[in-house]
Amino acid sequence: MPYALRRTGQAALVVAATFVLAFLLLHALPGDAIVARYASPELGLTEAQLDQLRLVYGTDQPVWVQLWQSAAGFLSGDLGTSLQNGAAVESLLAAALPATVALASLGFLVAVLLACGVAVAATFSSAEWLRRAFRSLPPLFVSVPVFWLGIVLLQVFSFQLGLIPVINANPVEALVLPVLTIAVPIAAPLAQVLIRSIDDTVAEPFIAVARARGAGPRWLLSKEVARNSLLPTLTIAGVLFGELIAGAVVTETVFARTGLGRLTVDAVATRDTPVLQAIVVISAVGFVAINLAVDLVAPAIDPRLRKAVHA
Amino acid sequence: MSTLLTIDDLAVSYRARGQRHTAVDGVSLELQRGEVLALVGESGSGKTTIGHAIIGLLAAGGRLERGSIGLRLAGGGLDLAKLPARALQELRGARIALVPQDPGTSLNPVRTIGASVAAPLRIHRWGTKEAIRRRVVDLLERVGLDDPERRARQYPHELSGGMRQRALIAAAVALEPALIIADEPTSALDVTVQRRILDLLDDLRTELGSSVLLITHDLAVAAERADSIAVLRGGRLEEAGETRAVLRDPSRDYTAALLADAPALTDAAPRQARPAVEPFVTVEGLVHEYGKGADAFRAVDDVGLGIARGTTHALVGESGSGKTTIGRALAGFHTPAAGSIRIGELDVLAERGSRRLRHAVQLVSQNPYASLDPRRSIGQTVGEPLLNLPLAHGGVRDRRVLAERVATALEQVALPAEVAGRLPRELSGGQRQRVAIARALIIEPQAVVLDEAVSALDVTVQSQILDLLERLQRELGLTYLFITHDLAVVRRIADTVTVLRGGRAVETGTAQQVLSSPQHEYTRALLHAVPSPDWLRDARRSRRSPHGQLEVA
Repeated sequence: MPYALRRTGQAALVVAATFVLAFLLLHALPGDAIVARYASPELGLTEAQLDQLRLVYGTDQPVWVQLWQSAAGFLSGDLGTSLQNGAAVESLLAAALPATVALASLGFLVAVLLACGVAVAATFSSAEWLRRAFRSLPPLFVSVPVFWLGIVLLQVFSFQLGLIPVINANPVEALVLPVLTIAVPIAAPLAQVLIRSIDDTVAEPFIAVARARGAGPRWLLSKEVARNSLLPTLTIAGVLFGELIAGAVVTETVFARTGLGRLTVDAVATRDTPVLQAIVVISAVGFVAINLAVDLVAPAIDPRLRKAVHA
Repeated sequence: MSTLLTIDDLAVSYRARGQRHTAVDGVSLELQRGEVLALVGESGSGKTTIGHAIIGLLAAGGRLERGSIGLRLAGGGLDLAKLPARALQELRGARIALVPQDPGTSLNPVRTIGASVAAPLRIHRWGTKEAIRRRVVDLLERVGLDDPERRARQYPHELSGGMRQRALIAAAVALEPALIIADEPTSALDVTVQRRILDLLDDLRTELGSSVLLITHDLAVAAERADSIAVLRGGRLEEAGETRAVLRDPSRDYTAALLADAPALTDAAPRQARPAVEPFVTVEGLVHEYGKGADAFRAVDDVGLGIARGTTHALVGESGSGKTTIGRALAGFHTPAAGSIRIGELDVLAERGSRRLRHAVQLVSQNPYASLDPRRSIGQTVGEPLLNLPLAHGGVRDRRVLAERVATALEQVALPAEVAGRLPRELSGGQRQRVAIARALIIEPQAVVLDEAVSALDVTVQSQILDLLERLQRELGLTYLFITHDLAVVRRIADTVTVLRGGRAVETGTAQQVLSSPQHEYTRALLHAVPSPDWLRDARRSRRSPHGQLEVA
């Protein structure tokens, strides 16, 4: 399949470009990590000692050399060393990633279910007031800030109702509120797109034809509308993956969870460039992979795209 | 003979911008068992609304105001207007079926043909999965699709328009309905395909003993196929009765006007052929391909033609014949693989994209709804070429001069000057097409490519636009390349004709020659396919009325 190959090549190119861009941007920041980490007066290091540290970490070399070394390291699986605590970046990531992947994938799943539920209720409810009510939900959800939602959920469910313990929660309990927090802001735009695309599909002549064959709402939804409305939504879902990463940063901070988000916050605070670089690249890989998967799955949903794929 | 459908004093209204508008107002009709009743009328006449009201699927905001829709089935009579939604849903697809207008958009693009045809059977729980599968294949075979097993597995985009309409008919007759509502079933199809589809509907009606409510804008189709006819105008019934009686001797002026305005092959006088002179527009050895390499599709294959100055040359052919490709090449929109095109002294291919070419040739396209920017006023749209093409008389920068030129251009196409301040959506289809013509003419081109420029318009409006085009040609000495699928329009406006098929010119000559004594078998097939019963021709001849009596569209 030359199409799949071409798209995979493009995806790899995007990741490589992200790597270079992130590297140059991080490098262009005023001051460097050595200063941030060691130049505090309490440590009392002299300028000569700082230069020596730069030599150790290799930050004294021209940017192109550093870029080249870093790239070679990434390709061989060596993501560098944290400037903050000297640990290997890959081991930091390995520790943080599983928690975030669990949070993000569960959050995404809940978001999809929520979006589908709201969209179907907003378009297929029998009562008009009900459809209107559900239609107004996504705009409301979109405007809710993640951190605020997290705090409110904590306040209500943990502190006031005492339903979910804050301390000594089991892994499942610990996930409930963060997953909800991360799901809502993703579900909202997803539901908006889905409602819009169901509206568009329902207006198509073939829906009228199906109704003229005696189709009821259930048949219309499951047999005629669903697949047609899925494609635009799928594309948006791929794009929203970026939101998921941003959402993880806030959610993990609010709920004091370990994970990629927390690692990001810490790395930014201490200007730990090797860690930041690795996080940017890993996010880009995830983002590109999801969108690649969306593109490759699309022809399975819409037969009209298959021809273009084989051509 | 017994009555199947009795509509009595039906009224339907729609809510639009907070107000209710009456779409159908007190219409009464009868349809006999096994017969065809044609509902004819122009857009906005309410003919489609009546069809929707019967099947209980009025568009959003629609409401039955009063009246009854009686359906007499074997089990007894029903009033569809008072039936609960659930019961009506049971009837739909089973006792009442719909053959829709546009086969291009009426099949679910992500489901197979087989799944779409099986839908009514599955919805009404007709039988087991295997029985339904066999029935679908039988049905597809019955409607004349080759290799029905394979067709059932294919998707709509893999089938031609005619094949899709056959599949839709198969779905409609799957449960042998008593009433088939055919809503403009052939309007989107080529004329030869139209004939075959109408024949198929006739056969199935006879075979199943169903009645057909045929909704159409085409009087000739109604005349040829319907037992009785109802003429609608603005939601009211103008007249109804046995088809021949109504069309031979219409009791209403409106019916007579419709008859007179419908362009037909049988009009007495085609355009007089003018003496052959040096052609002004010349196309030689034109070849155009889409795609590259082995996949290349040759849309135009070695076509040549010549058009004398101030005359109209028609390009006729069915979809895929390459007629639009030739028109767009002449207007300089794409570079052909081979060939030459000249307009007077101008080499079109060398001048492609140049402003000089834009001054020489302009294009008017089919859809007057899509070809005008909805956010710009008519004045802005019509004046735009003057701003874009500074060669036009030294360029127009002065606002007052521009406004004057726009007013003159609008006057030329018989639109009042105040139209300049309006938006496209405030105009009717005919008015919009006048605007499109004004925009093409404002820079005074020598040649105009008219690509199906009247195909989307109602017959009376179409007739007015054709009159306008003829007048402008006389006054301004314009040369037209007129692209159309409609042979009747050719007879009305063309001096010379080229008949295209699959990218090749099969016949060329004066309109008189080609239409009266066609040499090529394909031209004969095209002419034969145009619905035009002999008796209607006689009826029309005796009551041909001068044009332009109706108000300007």
